[in-house]
This record gives sequence, structure tokens and C-alpha cells, in this order.
Amino acid sequence: MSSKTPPADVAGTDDEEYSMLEVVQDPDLLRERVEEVDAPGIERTRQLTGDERAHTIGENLRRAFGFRTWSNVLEDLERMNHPAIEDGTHPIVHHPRAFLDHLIHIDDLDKLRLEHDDLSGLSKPRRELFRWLQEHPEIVQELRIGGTDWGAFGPKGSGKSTMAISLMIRHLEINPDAVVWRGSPARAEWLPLRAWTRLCLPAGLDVDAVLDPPSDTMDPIEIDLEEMVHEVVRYDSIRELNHEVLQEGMFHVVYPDPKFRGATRAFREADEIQEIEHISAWDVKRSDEDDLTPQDVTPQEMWWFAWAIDKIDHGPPIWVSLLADEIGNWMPEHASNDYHRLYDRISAFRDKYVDARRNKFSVFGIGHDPEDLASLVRKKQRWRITLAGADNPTGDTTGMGEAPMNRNYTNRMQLGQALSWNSQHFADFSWSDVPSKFKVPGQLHLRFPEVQEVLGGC
Amino acid sequence: MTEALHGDLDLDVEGPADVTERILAAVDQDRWGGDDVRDRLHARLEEAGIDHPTRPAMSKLTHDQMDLLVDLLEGFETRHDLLQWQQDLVIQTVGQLEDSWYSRTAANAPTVSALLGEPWGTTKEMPPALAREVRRGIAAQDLLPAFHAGHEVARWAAVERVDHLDDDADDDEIEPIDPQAQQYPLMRPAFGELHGQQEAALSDLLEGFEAPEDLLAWAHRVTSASYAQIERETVTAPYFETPLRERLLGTAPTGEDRFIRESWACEYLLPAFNRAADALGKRAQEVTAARGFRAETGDGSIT
Repeated sequence: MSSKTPPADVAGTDDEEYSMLEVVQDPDLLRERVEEVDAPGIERTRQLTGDERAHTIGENLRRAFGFRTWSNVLEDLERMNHPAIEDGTHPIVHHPRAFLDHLIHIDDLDKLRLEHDDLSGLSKPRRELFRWLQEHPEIVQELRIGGTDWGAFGPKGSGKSTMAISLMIRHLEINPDAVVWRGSPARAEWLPLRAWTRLCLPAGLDVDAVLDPPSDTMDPIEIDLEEMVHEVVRYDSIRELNHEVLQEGMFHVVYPDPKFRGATRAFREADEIQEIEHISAWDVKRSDEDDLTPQDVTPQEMWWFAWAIDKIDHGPPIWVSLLADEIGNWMPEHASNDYHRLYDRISAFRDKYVDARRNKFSVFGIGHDPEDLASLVRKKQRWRITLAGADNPTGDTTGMGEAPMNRNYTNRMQLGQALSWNSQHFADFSWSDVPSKFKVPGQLHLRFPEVQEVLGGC
Repeated sequence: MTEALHGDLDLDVEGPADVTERILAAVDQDRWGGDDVRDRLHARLEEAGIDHPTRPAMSKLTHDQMDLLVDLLEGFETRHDLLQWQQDLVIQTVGQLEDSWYSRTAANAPTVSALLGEPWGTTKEMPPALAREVRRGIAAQDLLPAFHAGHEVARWAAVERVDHLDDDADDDEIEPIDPQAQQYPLMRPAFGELHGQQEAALSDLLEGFEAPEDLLAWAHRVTSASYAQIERETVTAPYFETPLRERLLGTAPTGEDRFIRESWACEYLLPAFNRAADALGKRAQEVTAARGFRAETGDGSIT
């Protein structure tokens, strides 16, 4: 009842004086929009102050994006009337294995906490989640310990990135995850989260960041990354990144190291997989006598295999959740060893995958079509999400056994809805759009110019 | 009620007395505020056993009053916001402040300056620390006693609800009432209705009217929104007093127009609203009615 929201005539702040159409036509306005959005109250969070009573980054994000608290969502899902099910709970709650299981991350200690009713030290949203779980022991039973995974597939424009953002916010709110978004030079779907982002870049390399405006007539705009994100951090090697840089409860965007520092070592020191080497532009330059050519330089996205393997085998015991946009580009079906031993790399990752769960490592992937993703990996994924615009399978699938759906549900869904399922159960869910003030028109490209310079000198 | 406050304000702002200075210095400015302050305070109320209480109407009132207290302590962006807050306050104190308090608080230049945290009217300077101290003073001197008085009026009519604690109840799953999910102030629909009417009447006035006929129709609505507690002459004065009428017509007000509309609201409208809430006081019936936000979850929204 109180007057929390100011009336419309005083709510008009500077950036709302311009329409989006004006913004996209003016480089200064566009730059301002990209660089100057801030995360209200982030400086008072538990992660930044160390004060355990303070709210977390996850709560801060949740509020800024206008989401209800997760415990309110659960309460509402429980009171839902479902035409087919008598007790009136939404399938998300009725079939916890279909969705809650991959969202709620718990370990052995958490199970003991629940049993012995000791919720001290947990953040408020996690404490509330645990209280809810204590009232639902049958759901706790269904939750598996350790890291989880899903592959989410839908056509272009089906809301994959928005869904990923919503789910990552929930992970930060209710789980202690260090969320890592796979940065790639050409795609930056994480931009709505920029004000909360710890941008992890390889140490000692210059970075060019330009925004390609949506208008064809406008030149690309240089972006000051320090201004744009919450914090830019540099990492020296894969192991240092995992141990020193990534923090539980924070949102990270990581860009691979074109020097591949620590990448070959990650393979060498991992158990039960063969060593695969990485060749950087600098290696090519140094090898005057060898016959390395610029074509031998390992593609940057292959750095991720080394990173994930090192996290699984030698990472610190913290929760890490990787969100891989365009997972089919990273681990394509029909990968060949002729191309930088890509097949062997995928296979090595697949072999380590079984240990990921135990080591609190989760891998979430989004892509256009499950068929694009290497079946080696698809067979290991335990959950799948089918977005509106793609048809959910009804029979046999690769990797997921027989789909539990007996008809096509997703063809009738609208933008912002999807089906989350495993081999046993399915549940539909939906999400709301990103608030427009966090959206960025255009595409951000992030590149390391030295790589091209070094190759040019070979 | 504001004598002490005015005492404070008579201080020379350039050099506050030693006592004030010491108080200000002792306050750790960073310990208060933040966008989570509301959540924290509401959570603390819940932890204090106010959640799922046997008299949820009183708990609802406590939570709503807490929001108003936070609003005051944080200060207001504009005088317009201040008036809207006052209107809310009328309801949540069940009209227990003096009528004149509303006009004083929204018209006295040093007080308004302190509430806005910036110079206003004839007050040329308002250091943030002093503004905070004054806002706290108003909270202690006026607001908390008024909340107290509001509870005194409302408590006898609050319905006791204990079914959810009854082991012998026939229906074994009686949900406790969540006070924070209740739609109406004090869980009384009559107050919700009054609040809605007053809110609309106030914002219509501040926005302005397109034609004199709109102004007359509004005057009629004010009669209902004030429970006929506004004087007959007062409500038609804006029409008959031509200079005033000119100020109220037009939906693109100048700064001066706005000033006059706001001043009229705090001088006549809010005191009448206040009497209306007081008159409604003990008479309104209590019901449970949850806020209607559940429709959105029909499709399993996770946001």
C-alpha cells in the first residue's frame, strides 16, 4: 500500500528521455546505454562486503530483474490448479525430477543440513528454499547430489538467451554457484547482466571491444569494458582462474586465453585421458625451423575443453556452473580429428564428464538443434529443455532414452515457454523478458588484436 | 506535535548547536539504507513472530506502517511524492494524526526541505545530515505515536483467527493467513475502497483538469473520497475562486501551478481525508482477500 514506486512524472530519468529508436541512431547515446547501466545496491552485497547478513548478488540481480523470490514462486507453483492432477500443484513441483532436480544444487553436507535442521550460514533465499524442502521430504529424495546439466534447444528467436539469463539468476539466488558464461568473440548474449559481470580476461593481452550497432549506416562503437562491466579481472592460467579468480555466488564471463597457458598441462595432469597439445600464435612465431603454420593454431574455443577438464580434476571444491551458448559450435556432431584433434578433445571431455557431478561442476548448453551437438556429449546429458518453436520428441532419442512425452507439447507454446524433461518426467515452465533498460541493441565483439599481429609477422 | 521539531529547525543551519553536531557525528551513516532495507525490516518483523499471527489484521497494519516509516526515513524525491505518502499515511494511521499536521508538514519550508533533502521554498540550505536528523525527528515525534494511536483504534476490531493452530479442526489443512499477502489495508475492504478513491482524487488534482466540468465532477468524487468530511464550501471553492480555478485547469502545469495545486491538497484535501479515515475507524469489517497476482503463474512462470 505504500508509495514505493514514484509516480510516472518523476520516474523519468535521463536515459528514459530517449526512445530506443533514438538511442540506436546516436553513437553517444548507444555507448552511454551500454556502459552506464548500473546494478543498484551491488556494493552492499554479501559478496562485496563480506557481511554475512547482507543480501547476495543473486538476490540483488533477482530484484533488479523484477523476479519474485524463489520461495514465492515455489509457493505459487504449489497452489496451482492443474486440470489433470488432483492435488493442484504445478508439474514443476509435482515432478521434481523434471526441473527442480537440475536447478537445485545440493551436496552431501546440504542433505545433512536438511536432516539435522541446521541452516546456519546459508544465504536467506537458500535458507528459505531449504525450509521448503524440509516440508517436502519426498522432493529432497528426488534431488541428486552434485553438479547437473541440461541442453536447451530451440530455433533462433525462441528466447534461449533470455531463458538462460533467467535460470542463471535463479542459480545465483538459490545456489552457491560460481556461474561462468562462455564468452566468444562474436556473441555476447550475456550483456543484460553486464553490470553484475566479473569479466575474466587472459592476463597481459590488449582487448578490443566494439559494438556493432543495429543500424547499417553507423560505424562500430568502441566500448570501455571497465566502464561497462562490474569488474574486469585478469587470469594467468587455467588453474589460477579456477582457484583464485572464480568466486561462488558471482556471475563471470570468461574469454579463452589465446596463449593457452596451462591448457596442455590440464590434459597432461588429468587422469585417464591422453595429452593433447595446444598451439598458440606465439608458438607458431617462435618455431622458425619447425613447420608450424598459422593454420596450426588451435581455435580458441578449444581452450574450454582444457578449462573444464582442469576444473573437474584439479579445481577447488566450489560449485561452478558453465553456461555454453552455441554448444553445438563448441562440440559439434561429426567432429573430425583432422581438425585440431577435435574428436579426441570431445572424447576426453566426455570421459571426464562422469566426475563433473561429484566435483560440483554443471554444464548447461544452449543451441539450435540437439543434432548439432556431438552425440558423445548428448548421451551424457541428463536433462533436456525444448523451447517453443521446436517439437519435443515423443519416442526414442539419442542419449535420453525414450522421451516421456506422448504428444507434442511445445508446438503450442509461445515465446518465453519451454518444456524441461528427462527420461522419466517433464514439466513446462516460462519466464519473463529482460527489463528493457538492461538490453543492448547491436552485437558486441571482443577480440585480442595481438593474435592477428603475431600471425601477421609469421 | 511538532514543537520539538520546530525547535530543531530554528537552529542556525550554518552552525548547528554542539548537541546536534555530536548526534550527527555519532550516527554511522552507512549502516542505514540500501534497497534491501525493506526486506530486512519485514523479515525482522516475521522473525519477531508477527508472521502467521492470530490477529493478522494487526500484523498487516504493522507491515504497511513499516513501509511508510522507511519512506519517511529515506526522504522523498518531490513534494508530489510527499503528498502521496501522506495520503497513504492517512489510511495507515486510521486518521489519528491531527489534521493540521498534514498542512504543516507539506507547507513549512524547513520541514519540506528536510523531507526532500534539498533546499525548498525560503530555506536556502539543507545539509544532508541535518535533513536526516529532522526526518528521524519527525518519525520519533509524530509518526510512531500516530502508528501507536492507529493500533489503539484498530486493535479491538481485529478478528482473532486460530483455526490453523487447532489440532482438532475438522478440515486438517487450514492455511494460516499471510498478512503480507493481504490486499486491503487493515484487511478491511472499506479502507481499501477509501484508499483507492483518495489516491485517485489526489492524483487527479495534481495532474489538473481539462475542462471546468471535469473539475466539478472531481469535486463530487472528493465528497465520497473524504466520506463527506470535507466542508461543502471547501470542495466547491476551487471552482468559484477564479484565480484558483485557472491554476487547476490544464494538464501541463507550470512550476507555479504545481506549487498551488500541491498547497491546496495539503491544506484542504489531506485534512479532510484524515477525518474520513478517522470516521471510518472502528466501523469497517474485516475479511481475508489475497492480492490477485497468482494468475501469472498459470504457465509455471519461474520469474
